[in-house]
Amino acid sequence: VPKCFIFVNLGNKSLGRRVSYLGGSVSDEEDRARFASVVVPYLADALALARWLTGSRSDAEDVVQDACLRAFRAIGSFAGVNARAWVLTIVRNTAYSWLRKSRNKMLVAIDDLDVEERGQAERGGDVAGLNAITPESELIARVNEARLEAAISALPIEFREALVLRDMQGLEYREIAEVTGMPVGTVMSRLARARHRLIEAIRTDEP
Amino acid sequence: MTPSAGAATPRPGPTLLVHAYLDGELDLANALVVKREIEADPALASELANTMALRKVLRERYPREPVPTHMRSRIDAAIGLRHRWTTRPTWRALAASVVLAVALSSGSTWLMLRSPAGGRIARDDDTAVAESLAAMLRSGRTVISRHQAKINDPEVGDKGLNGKSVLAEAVRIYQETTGADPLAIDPDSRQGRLLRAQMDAIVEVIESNRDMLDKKGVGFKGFIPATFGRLVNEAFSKRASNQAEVKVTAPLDLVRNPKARPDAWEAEVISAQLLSASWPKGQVYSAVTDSRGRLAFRIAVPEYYVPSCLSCHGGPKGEIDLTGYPKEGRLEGDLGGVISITLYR
Repeated sequence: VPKCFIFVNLGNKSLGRRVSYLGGSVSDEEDRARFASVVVPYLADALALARWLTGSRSDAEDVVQDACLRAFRAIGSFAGVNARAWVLTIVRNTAYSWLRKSRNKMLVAIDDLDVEERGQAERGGDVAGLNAITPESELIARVNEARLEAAISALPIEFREALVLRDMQGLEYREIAEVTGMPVGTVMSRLARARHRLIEAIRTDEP
Repeated sequence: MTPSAGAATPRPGPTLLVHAYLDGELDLANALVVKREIEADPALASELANTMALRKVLRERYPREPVPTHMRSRIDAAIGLRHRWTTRPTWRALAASVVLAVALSSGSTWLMLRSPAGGRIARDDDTAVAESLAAMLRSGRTVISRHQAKINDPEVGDKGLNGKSVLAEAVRIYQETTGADPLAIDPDSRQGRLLRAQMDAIVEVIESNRDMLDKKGVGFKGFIPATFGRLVNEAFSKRASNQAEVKVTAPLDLVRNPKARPDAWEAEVISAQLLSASWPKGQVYSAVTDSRGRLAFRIAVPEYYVPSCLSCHGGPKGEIDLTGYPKEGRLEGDLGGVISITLYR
């Protein structure tokens, strides 16, 4: 069945031209039904992830729209195992290519463990700046909203995505590993370090 | 499952394991080891408390936001999606589908939904199969609940519990609560096959945890009914691969183990149906819908708190319970959990 391809410009310069399927063939209908059941339930998660990766809601919407088109075109290849991880993988990859295009500087690769932190991870004992016996959970619970937001945004992107996927969206480590293409052990250490950095930022914020 | 990437990877430091512990990523044996390390080390206890506080703040400050309408329109326009966005049924649709269900299946009191894709209705025995799986899971948990004091007695080694004895007790409870005999169900029927897979899962879970259960000198073992239930569900889902899944989930603010988080369908059913003031207590919700890209019969069986739940989930809210979690301040009769069963086509 021939498909009808029409190029339309959706009016966003940074995204350029987009493909839209306007045909009404049976397989298109099936693809749309599949899209509605596989992708649509996770749009809220997709937007939140894109927002934290790009740092802005409007950029996130562009990224998610782009990701939806990619997902729609690839819907036939979805293996039917974990729709959320599949959708978030596409969103993440789309956000990364978008960032690479628009702001090269933000994607400077990090050395996963700097020397001090590597030592700590290997020794396992100390926690950066958290040796105090008294938990600072009260302080954390009362953190200023803008301060928290700024601290999350200041995390290296690899740490930030682990934190968002786990602590805001509740993915399991192996799902985060699937989305980010990292080994589970790396996911675990990035997540721990992201949390340490946030707690440290909250701690040092107190006058 | 341990979070280490494989046998070649050394055991991660205790600090990292505190995070994995908190995230429910450790198997029972490792979780118990880490729990003891935390109890013995104030720095790790502090790590646990701070991380818990941070997770709570993140979850509360950044809840899932609804998708803005204009965003839906943009995607609609981009891919030509014209039909309904969600499978969330309206009451009008529910009412219409009840008529349809009554017309199609005699004597069923369950709600059935026509999905937006059209023409897909529950099979006659879907509900019976799901009901029996839910009843067997509950019976198994009751056994573990009844023996909880014995399981946590540090003075006793051999607890006298084995796969066979626990299953036999679960079968007795099943018979008492449902009036039906699970062993009399035709083992070649779908119901018989799945129920037997579940009973095998109960045996498997007890047998593989016997060393831990029979350990002398250890008090609280973390082998509570909820954990037992989760292990049985995981073992069952493996055994019934591609045919059925059983999961226990809950309203999002009550979920302690990330594995129990409701998926999109469950979250929707819980918030829009089971938690609504007009939902009849104990009424299940079921639908034929897509799950993981496949057509499936899904059913949500609500469970409500009874007094024994409240030592961990009651008040005062925020106080740390026996298992290390803050209590949720719930009351007897509140919706505490949902047994979610998926039967794939």
